[in-house]
Amino acid sequence: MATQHKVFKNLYQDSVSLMQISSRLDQMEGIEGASVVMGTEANLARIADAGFGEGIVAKPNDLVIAVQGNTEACEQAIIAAEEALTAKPDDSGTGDSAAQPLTSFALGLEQNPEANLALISVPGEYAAAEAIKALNLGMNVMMFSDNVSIADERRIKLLAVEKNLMVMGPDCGTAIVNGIPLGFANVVRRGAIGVVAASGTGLQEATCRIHQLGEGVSQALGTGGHDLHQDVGGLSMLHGLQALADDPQTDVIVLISKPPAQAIADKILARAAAIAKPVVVNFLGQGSPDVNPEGVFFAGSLAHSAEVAVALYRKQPVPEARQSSESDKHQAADLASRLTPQQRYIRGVFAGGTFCYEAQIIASGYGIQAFSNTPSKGNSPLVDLWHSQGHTIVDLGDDDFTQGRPHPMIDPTLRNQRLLQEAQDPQTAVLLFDLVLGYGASEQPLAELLTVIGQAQQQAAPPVMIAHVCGTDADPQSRQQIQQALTDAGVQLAESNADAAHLAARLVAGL
Amino acid sequence: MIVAHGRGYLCPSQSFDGQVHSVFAKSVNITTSLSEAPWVSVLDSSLPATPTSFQCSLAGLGNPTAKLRVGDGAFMRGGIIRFKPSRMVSVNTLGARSWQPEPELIQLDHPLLHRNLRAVEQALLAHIGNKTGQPISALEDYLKLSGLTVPARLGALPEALFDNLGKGHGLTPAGDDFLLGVLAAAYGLRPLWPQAEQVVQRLAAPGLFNAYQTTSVSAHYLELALAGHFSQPVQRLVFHLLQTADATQVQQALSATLAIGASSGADTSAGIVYAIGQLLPHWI
Amino acid sequence: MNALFTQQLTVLNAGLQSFADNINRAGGTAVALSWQPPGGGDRAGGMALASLLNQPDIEAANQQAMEQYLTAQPMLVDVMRAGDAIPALAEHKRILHAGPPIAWPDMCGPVQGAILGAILYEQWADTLEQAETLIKQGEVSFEPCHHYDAVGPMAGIISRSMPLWVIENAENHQRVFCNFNEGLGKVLRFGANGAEVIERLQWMGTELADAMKAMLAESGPIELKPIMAQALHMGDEVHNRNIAATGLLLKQLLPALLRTALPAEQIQRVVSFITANDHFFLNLSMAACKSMLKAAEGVPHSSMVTVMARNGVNFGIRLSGTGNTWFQAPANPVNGLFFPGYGVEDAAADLGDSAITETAGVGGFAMASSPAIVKFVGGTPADATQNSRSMQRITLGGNPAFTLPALNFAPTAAGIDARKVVDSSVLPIINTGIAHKKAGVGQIGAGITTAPMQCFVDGLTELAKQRNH
Repeated sequence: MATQHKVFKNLYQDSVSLMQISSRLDQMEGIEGASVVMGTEANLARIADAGFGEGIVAKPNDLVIAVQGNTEACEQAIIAAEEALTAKPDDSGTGDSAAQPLTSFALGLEQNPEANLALISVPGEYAAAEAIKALNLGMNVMMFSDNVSIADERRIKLLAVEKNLMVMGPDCGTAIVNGIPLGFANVVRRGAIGVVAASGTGLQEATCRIHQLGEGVSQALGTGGHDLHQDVGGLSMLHGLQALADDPQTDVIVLISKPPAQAIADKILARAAAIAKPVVVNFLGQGSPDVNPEGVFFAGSLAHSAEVAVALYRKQPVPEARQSSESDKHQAADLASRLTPQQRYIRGVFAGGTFCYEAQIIASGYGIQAFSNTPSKGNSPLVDLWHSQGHTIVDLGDDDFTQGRPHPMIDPTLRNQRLLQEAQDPQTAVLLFDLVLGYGASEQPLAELLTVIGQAQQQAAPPVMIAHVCGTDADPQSRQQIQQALTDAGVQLAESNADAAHLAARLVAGL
Repeated sequence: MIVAHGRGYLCPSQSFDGQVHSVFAKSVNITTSLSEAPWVSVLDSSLPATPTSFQCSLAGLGNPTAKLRVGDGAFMRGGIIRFKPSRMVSVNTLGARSWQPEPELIQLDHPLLHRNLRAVEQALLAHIGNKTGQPISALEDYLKLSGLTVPARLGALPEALFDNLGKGHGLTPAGDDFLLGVLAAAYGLRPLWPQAEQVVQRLAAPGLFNAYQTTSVSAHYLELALAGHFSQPVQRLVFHLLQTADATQVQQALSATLAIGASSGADTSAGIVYAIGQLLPHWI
Repeated sequence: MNALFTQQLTVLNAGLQSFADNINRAGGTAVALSWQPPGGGDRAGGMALASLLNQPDIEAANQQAMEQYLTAQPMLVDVMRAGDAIPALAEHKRILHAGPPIAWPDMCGPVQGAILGAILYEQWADTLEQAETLIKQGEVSFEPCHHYDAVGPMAGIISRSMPLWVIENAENHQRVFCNFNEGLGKVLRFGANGAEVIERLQWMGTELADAMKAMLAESGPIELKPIMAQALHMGDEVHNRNIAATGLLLKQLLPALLRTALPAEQIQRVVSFITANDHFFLNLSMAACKSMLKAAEGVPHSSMVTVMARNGVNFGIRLSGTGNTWFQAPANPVNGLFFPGYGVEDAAADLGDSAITETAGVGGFAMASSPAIVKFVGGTPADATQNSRSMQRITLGGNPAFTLPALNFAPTAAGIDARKVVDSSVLPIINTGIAHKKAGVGQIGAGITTAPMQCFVDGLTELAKQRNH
């Protein structure tokens, strides 16, 4: 084994730089050891002990490089060291602090002092803490995160009440605040109708319908799916209701939820009655009470609540929920005429949970009892989630189907498969489904859907396909194009989920 | 982060968006988007507390004028005021204690008021004499010195006082501070003295006050005064003047007021003395 | 009335990036955070943190603690025998060590070696074996230096006959102590306990101590903050780099020493000793920092960190508002370079009370002043500056007494807020030497390490518990 050394006169480097160089040399192939030191007596003695060679002549201000290894490698190493020592200093510093990542709401707020809404979609076990932090920092909160305990939800909402801040969620994926769509929401005209909804797709349907009717939305606030639970007490809905009551831009208010516990419903209706502005209430499936409180109007469906609100805003007579007309019956019979005697059942395949629920309720009005993974009152749980039986109306956005998978609004693969499956079942008379547009939803919802529909239609006796497209002409997807494509593919398009459900149920009931 | 230890009773506690209106060595004024609190000040503890100010020690900040500029964004979230683009300054108002105005006049003791007014007037005139180097013996001399005009009878034409707006130097001109003093006295007497109520009504009549006649900072304080809100030392002075028998307390209240600004306090005190003298003439 | 509807909507997004992207596409304003679970993913700790954020009593408490830390004026006033300064050492066979409490069997090699050396130095035993027997019989008790307002670097061993620097805070007259620095090579603080170590300790406890005491009588109290402040402008960070500070100290020390009546040879030996030791000032730096932080202790509800210390196994911290409770966790590994012949397998875990310097805003926090250390981790001077800047995210403010030229003379970040550490996941950074895990071998490298997250999570949990009662 060879050793080599070189002395650089009057070349000072601090000990750290020296170590860096020696470390680099050490790693070179063929080098057994390297030492880079200033030429003090002690250092020279040390490297002599280490076997780098005696008799190195150097002064304390000289820099010594000593290497051990095979001859060629040693030469290379000395050259490399010389280059490193005489190289220009590395000037990669920017001089300014590079932007440091914002890892928390507190840091985010420091950098963006005007921030006023914290949008939380972190894993459920951390979401409650983030919400409390955001509230303590003085921001309103929207929580897409789910799997937050009822106790934590209550705690978060009580804190929000204390600070007069808004909490939308947990489990709130949809809102439109100050005209900006948040989460899975549609681009809707700004206007004078405010919405507070415990259901995401319910909010979407109502706001889209308002837009389609030519009016606009001031604010659309989500409360999260559990807000009207007994132990949460509707805190978000009450806060939202009051905020809209105080909002000079809001003239009419719409409240949407699945039927709450009686005590909660009473509280909300009492508050609604006390407000000077008209309030439209849709507690899905719950009919209007015997006595209507002053200024409170009950709607029969999501779309109907929009229609009522628009009429109230325009100071026009409030329309009744749509009933069957003669032409409706003709349309149903006409469509039914193409079916075989075997085709008897309604199969609903939904991405929107509230659409699934509303369809069930409407169908039950026609005496249709269905199976579902989220059965409404009077319906039964579906035994095998992956195979329909009799009348079946499923919510593919429910946890049962979305464990470890994206929601069907984002990735419709599972939904499309189920549609085809139902279409190919000889017992399916009507295939009923929704297509939800807007931010967050798939930007290309048609491609595979049309393929599936095409396949279905190619059968000898395809079922009747009925759908509605929840969206507006201002959404990122082109609603008009989509509606046209579906119609061309032979799908019966309805204006709303309620209309679609009515048509489907009417048809099946008449078989 | 600066921690505010005191807050005025009109200060907002939740969130607002706003802009820096003006910055001085010891104060920062902010206009906000809140209709109920359109103006907020952050003042050094050495300045008198106002109903719309947060008091804090600005010493740690150095000079605010170096850190903040007119037009910078100001945002309150969760009780903390932050600024944009400067992120070096933030004010935590969460723990700030609110000061309450003194209670309303419950009884009018004319001899007491007479005594207090005499004492305050003498002390005030002595103070002005010292300051200007020209001894004066009556309020009229002060008015001449300051170039202010007053109506022959306050009750007959209180509106004439608006002619003095903008007269004088400084952030809050003498004419403005004088009017402010008149309002403080009138509001103070108002619960028990109908003539004072009338003066308040006439002065606070909508459309009368033109903010453009004077500086915007002064306009803010006048707007507050027209609505019956005054800085802590001023309303304390009025309270003690009208209700307190202890001459020392009255004297201390006067000293605290005289310490305001360069001459603001003296001008305000003059307005108070003038107004009380006008409203209760047969006792003076 | 919620003002949200009249404000411009500005969203901070934690979680799925697509939400923020869509809001910006739709014409709104959303800022995507780089969110990660706070506190290393400890859920209960995260909830405790949430309840402590932006609370009036905590903000006020922190302001008070910070104020007391900032106004502290540590002065070197005296030299005393440890047993005189700390009576508990004289009363029993008690030996103090660096870091949080730890039992003999669990101690690392250097600390055990140093303790054995101290026992020989105190003449409680004649051989190492006897010393160990004494310990096993329970004759000797061990406590952290911090329990007696003292600090010591590396093993940090203090026994009754050792000389201590006495530092007094001129603001409140409280006193803290630190031992003398022995220099490099075979020294007690790295666990060496041979004859030369003991001899040196004896010389330090007599000639050196006497000289320093006489020197102080001549010079009067020496202000320590100005020395540190100047040193920070000269390439020191007064933890791992102390050479400028030592030089500045000498400038004050020498004239006073020369005025004493001590024999010339003694003075020569003392001066040679000090000038041969580039880290002589370290112990004074540590004591000054301890003095400043002691002033901040004991403010109820305060989340300010007043102690960070390591015992070669565990890293321990204390918070102002939780009294004397230690919050401990295994020390994080050191990221650095080793001297030739040594590697990570030879290294002892992080050791010493010297992290008190970072706790006070210098050392690793002032890395911008002494960028050389980042080369140990393959960084550039810009990285050193960046490290100093990122400490601003976890501190209550800055210390205007210590400014950093590389940051445009901005005050160094100071006053670690445990809440900010847990919330931002930014850990306090510490410049540190690496000791060999075997007693007595000495320093084998240097680098950068961080305080372990769990300590801060536990501290907050305790703070939250106290507030709920």
